[in-house]
Amino acid sequence: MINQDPIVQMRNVSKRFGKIQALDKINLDIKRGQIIGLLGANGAGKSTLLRHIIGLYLTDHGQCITFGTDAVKLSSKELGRIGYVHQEGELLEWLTVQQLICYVSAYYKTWNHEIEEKYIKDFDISIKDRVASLSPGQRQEVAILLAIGFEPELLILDEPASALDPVARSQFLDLLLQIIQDEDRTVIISSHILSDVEKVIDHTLIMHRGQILRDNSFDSLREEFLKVTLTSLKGSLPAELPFEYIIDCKRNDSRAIFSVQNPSQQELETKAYDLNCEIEIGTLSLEEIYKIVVSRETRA
Amino acid sequence: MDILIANLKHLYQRRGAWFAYLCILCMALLALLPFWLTKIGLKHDRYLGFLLVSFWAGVFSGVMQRDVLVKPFSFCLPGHRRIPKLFIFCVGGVINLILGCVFLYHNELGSPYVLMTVLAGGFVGMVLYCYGACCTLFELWMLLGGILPWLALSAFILFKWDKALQNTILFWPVPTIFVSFLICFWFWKLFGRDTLARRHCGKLVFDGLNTSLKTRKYLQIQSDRNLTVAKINFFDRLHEFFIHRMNRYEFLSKGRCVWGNLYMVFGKGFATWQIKHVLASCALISFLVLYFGFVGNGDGINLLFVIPALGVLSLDLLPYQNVLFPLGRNEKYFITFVLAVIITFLAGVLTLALTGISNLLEILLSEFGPDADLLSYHGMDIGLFYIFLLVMPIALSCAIVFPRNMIVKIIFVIVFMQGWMIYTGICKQSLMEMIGPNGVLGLLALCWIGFLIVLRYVCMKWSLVGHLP
Repeated sequence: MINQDPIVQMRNVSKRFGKIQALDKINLDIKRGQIIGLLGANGAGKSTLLRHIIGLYLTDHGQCITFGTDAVKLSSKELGRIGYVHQEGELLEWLTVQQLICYVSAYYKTWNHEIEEKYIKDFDISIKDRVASLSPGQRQEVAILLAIGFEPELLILDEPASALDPVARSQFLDLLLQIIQDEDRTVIISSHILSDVEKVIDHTLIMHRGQILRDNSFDSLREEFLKVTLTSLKGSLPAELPFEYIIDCKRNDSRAIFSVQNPSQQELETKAYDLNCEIEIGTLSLEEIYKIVVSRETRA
Repeated sequence: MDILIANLKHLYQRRGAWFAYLCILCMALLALLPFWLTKIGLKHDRYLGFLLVSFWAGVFSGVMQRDVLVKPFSFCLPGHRRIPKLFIFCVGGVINLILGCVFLYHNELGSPYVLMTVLAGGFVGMVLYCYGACCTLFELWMLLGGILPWLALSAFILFKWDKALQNTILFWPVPTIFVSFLICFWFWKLFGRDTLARRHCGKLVFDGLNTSLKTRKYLQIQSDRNLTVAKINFFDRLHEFFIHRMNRYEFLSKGRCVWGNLYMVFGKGFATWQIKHVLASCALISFLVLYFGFVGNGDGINLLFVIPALGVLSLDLLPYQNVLFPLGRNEKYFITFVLAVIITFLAGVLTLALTGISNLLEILLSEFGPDADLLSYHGMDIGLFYIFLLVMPIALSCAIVFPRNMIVKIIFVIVFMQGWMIYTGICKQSLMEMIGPNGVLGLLALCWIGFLIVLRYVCMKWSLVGHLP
């Protein structure tokens, strides 16, 4: 259940790095309890957007408000409610994992040692090792532990699974599913591995060149785009298929597979009947939807 | 393309080399000194400043070749045994031939000797040049920075050995060329040994200057190899000490954050220390106290008021750049300021200790050496302690504005040291005598207010994530 009060509000936020417009007039409301998938190509502005939310970056224009406070002025109290994993996975290399956990946990009153122990056991983290000697994947696992150990209200994961191996990624997803059981917890997860993300998110933000192309619930996005398989029952399919908004059509004489935007299911079935075809309507994966949205924008 | 030409192209393709050129150019002023002195009509009789330039040019050439040899493919390069020595001798030949021309200005040279003298000067320079290259190529760091250059420099200043060498070049150029040639030939054979590529392949060059994540990880793993049980136990106790101090304060309180930040700044050093670093630091400090006490009639030793302040440049002052901690910009501003005060206090105590030691030495070593004028030892003037307090906020500001840019920090140190030397050379009065106590107090206030403004600006207006590598 989503509380309607936004915990993050962005109003006309723009940020430029030299000649690159990293964020371009971003308007955004993130509500408590949402699990948001932030999608976009490299350089789309995902990390920049996330860093604005926690006040690490200052906006060139506009305002970013987190927990009702200007993000730049976030105090210890508010920052103590935010967990953040950044994609570089850089930690304090000169400490052992145990010392690092002990040091970070000293800052949080709400540090949950049960979660810590369970996580260390599940991920088989060697706590006696120095952080510097860990592989990128192990380092990322430690970073995730540090971000979730104090059970933050807002968890920001910037490419958290990019360095993880398939087994660790699967474990991470299980963990994420546990984390999101708390209805008041908001999670923003930016990732390239969309097949993982779609299992947990309920809202999508698709970014491209510093702009938000889509800000929809995942369900509405799945309803907007459908996958249609049309099989001719007799003879060949006509050269021009009589459907509107066809995207990415692959076909031969008797069979066509395509996506359609904003379709009426009844209309699809009627037209298929008229063509003497069998129709199969299915949903698209997040990756397919993402490709369609971004490729259309690129073409435009 | 010829391999040697490809290597020589590094001289302008490698951006870091341009910084070295700047340093060598500054030192080249030493070589030009006789020309200037002649122009302004002063009597001069010392020509060997150029040897210092030769030496550092050799160090530079050695580093440039190391930069090539460390590449993983250096073993596969055709002629990897021959090219380093060819490169070093090509560059060195040109440089030293030019530098040898310094003797053209010698007043007493007769025409038959001119060419031979220039050649002899060049060959002597070449020996020093090869020595510099040898130190870097064979990683003889103690010889490079620790012992021989300082000893040689001391010998020049204290015992005027340079005059003896200079007279040898001027009046026995042929034997000088012969002996220097033999030494250079020995270096030629040494640089051609097949161990060079094997020694350097895959290693890091410019370790201290390279601040990338990969480099730091490599250095950390390297220091981990030197871990002993005693060091681990020591660091564990240190860890417990700081965590215990943190836990004495409330969660999210400033006290807890200040202790946490102190741990971040100083713990890193304790986690990676090696006994050789500690010994080298002690040796360097002792040497500086002894060496500067004997030079400059008491002005040299006061340089030690500047050096501890410049030491803070190596510290990472802005806290918590790696993990998101519950600390807002205001808190970061406060705890960095507290840290700056603590560091100033500690560096001040060190400076006062050095002042005490040097004054004790002044009593013990006052009439030391054969030449009473040259070898009388001078202690630090406690009345100049305000210099330390003036330099400190400037160094702290630089450390905050350029947290991971080692090159900028080195330039800052060079500029400051040069500035100090020029100031002590030109101004016969101290700053206190020039502007009075109130002026000094005003200047101190100005410097510290300036530091606070810089700190405030960085903490409140900068994108803090920019400090990530």
